[in-house]
Amino acid sequence: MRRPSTPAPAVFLLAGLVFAGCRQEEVRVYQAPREEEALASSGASAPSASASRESASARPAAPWTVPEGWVEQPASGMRVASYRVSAADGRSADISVVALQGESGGELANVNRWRNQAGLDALTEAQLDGARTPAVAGRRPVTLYEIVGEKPLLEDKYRVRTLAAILPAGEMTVFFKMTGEDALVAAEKPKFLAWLRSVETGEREESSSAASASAAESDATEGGLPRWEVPSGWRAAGPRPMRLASFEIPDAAGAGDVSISSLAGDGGGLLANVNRWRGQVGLPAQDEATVRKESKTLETAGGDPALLVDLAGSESRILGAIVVRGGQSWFFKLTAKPQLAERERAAFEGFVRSLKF
Amino acid sequence: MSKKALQFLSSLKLTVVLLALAIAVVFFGTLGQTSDGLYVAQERYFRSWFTYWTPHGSSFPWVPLPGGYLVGSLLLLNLIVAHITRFKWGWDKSGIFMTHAGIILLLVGQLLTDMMARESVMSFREGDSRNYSESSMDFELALLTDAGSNTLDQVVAFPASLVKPGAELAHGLLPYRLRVREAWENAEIRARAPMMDSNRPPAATQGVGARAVIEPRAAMRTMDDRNVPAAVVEILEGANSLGTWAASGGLRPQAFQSGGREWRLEYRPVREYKPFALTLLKTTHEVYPGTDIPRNFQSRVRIQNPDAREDREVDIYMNNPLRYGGYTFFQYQMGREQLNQGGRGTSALQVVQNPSWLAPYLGCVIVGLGLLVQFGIHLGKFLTRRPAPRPVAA
Repeated sequence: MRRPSTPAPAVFLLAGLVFAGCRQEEVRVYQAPREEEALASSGASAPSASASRESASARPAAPWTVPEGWVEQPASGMRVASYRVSAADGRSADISVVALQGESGGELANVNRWRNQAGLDALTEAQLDGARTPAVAGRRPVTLYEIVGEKPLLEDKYRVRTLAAILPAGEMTVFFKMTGEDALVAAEKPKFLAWLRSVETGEREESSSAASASAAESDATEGGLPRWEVPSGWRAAGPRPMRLASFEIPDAAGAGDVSISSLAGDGGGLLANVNRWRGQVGLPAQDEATVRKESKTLETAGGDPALLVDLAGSESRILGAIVVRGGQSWFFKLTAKPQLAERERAAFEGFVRSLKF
Repeated sequence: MSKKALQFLSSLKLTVVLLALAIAVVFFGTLGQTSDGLYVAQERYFRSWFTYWTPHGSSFPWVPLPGGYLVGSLLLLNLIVAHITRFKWGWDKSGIFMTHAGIILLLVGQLLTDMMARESVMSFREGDSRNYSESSMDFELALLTDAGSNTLDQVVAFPASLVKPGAELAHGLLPYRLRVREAWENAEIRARAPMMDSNRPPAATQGVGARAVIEPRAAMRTMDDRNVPAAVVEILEGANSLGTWAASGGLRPQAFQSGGREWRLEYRPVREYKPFALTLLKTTHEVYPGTDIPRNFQSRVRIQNPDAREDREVDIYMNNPLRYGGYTFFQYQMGREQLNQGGRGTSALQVVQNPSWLAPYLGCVIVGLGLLVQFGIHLGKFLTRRPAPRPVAA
């Protein structure tokens, strides 16, 4: 039997080990032909051709409640979020949230782009007004468009329906959009609206809670919200349906509630709203002349007239202010026990006076 | 080395045990792919010396296993030691020797493939030319500037493994250094949205990052997903800071000024440049009627190689790769949506460079021939040993 002169197998094993661990990574320096590639500018990043297709499961919680049946899709590039809803027979709709700098071409251009995608002709600026519907995103009023195609563009079988809400927010504009097969989108519309309402508009709580220590200003006029000064003792409250902002006035006998909401147009009319409030404190309805006679008018810091009502029931009292401005009605309402309302009356009037649209 | 040890290393029992272990490693490695994904499972079970299998969702190591390297190396060792100590050369055993040589070639070839093979991707749109392919796994933080001519860039590229929080990246060609503030293996960069991000600062102070936020993501392990790394780096000229910049695999290059010239910063897949260029001329995507099952992905490309004075067109499609310049180009992916929307088609070719690609073919041929020779020898012996038939009495 021959004997190996050296422990060759051991050497081989060692060599294998060395090679296996030898995946070196070092700084590379080279010259390469220049590519005519556009530089990144500002704002949203466009995904490159080789961009990721990462899993949707790793996304953090979105600032809204995702309706049942909507399946999250990987968001990329300009999309902040993306969902898909599908019917059993293969029809589907795409839901997207896109945030863009500025007005991103303006409302008319965007609406006409969506109309074009649905196979419809462009609208003029004058026609645009008739296409608008008011809606609420979180606690802010938004403009909703519903566009229904006439031609079967999807797989040559189905018409396109698009729901799109435009939310101006400071320097940016946010687009909430659902587009897909006509009947499916129509069926999903209540979910779309509920989704819009569930949107968490973070800034307001932030500024309001910061304001709670003293009379600070609300932070901005983003989304058309007015500026105001929060009276001392008022605390920012969490988001509530149909409200743009809420405050709480702590008191041992029961906290007071301040709500700020806005509706398009006259919001149902002065009389209807005041009579609804009267009903809430157990007072009988009045006619418009009496309502106007019993109310007073304050001038806000922005120079807008605010109609002020004081509705005292036996159990509770409502201090309300209504500002109608630029096709939008704003409602400011303090509800509290009679004693607390009396104590906060001056603060509430000061709050209304501080409004600046 | 003691006689006993040599006897052990050359024993047929060891061979049988190792083959059984190899089957176990392959079995558990295949199971492991369900939770780890292909690439991680490969590293964990086959490119390792020792490993263990854990059922999905459990952290307790259930089945300790030898890794692929250990089993392969021991098999090789076993075979070689057996040849040195036990086998004796003789023409009647030439078939066995050939078979064993083939197996050794297979084992060594696999090790070489493992060490030397490189896979990358060349993706382009119709009309685009590419003279480089990109890694599908690894990224580099590249800094580019004009190399003095209008057509060339000077590139200094730091591998992603060096882009770690707190690291300082410097090179003699750079008039500045980069201090890595934050880094993520997988993250998404997107525009800083009004409602979602108002209480978060922008990712960086300069460039795109000043209007963006970075969302860290869990690192991906499956084949269909891909990690896109991101980092926030501060550019320092001596003690002077030029601000922080966000770099991400999802961003186009960003420009900044330093040392009197324009630089570009890009976090991109590691590039490998070729001495030739491919231009994507046409993509064809066919499915079986009424289904989404692909029937044919086909890319027509033009090869231009100035050194070889070559300029020709070829078709690359499923099972018909292009072998050129030491690389093999397989049809990999095709952008179907763009085609349906009437836009320019996109195609991705998988580029494989494997200098030892012939080893398994050659190994199999040698093993097959060896078996044939050995059977031939046995058959010959059998036939010659058969006694001549005697005439039968009538």
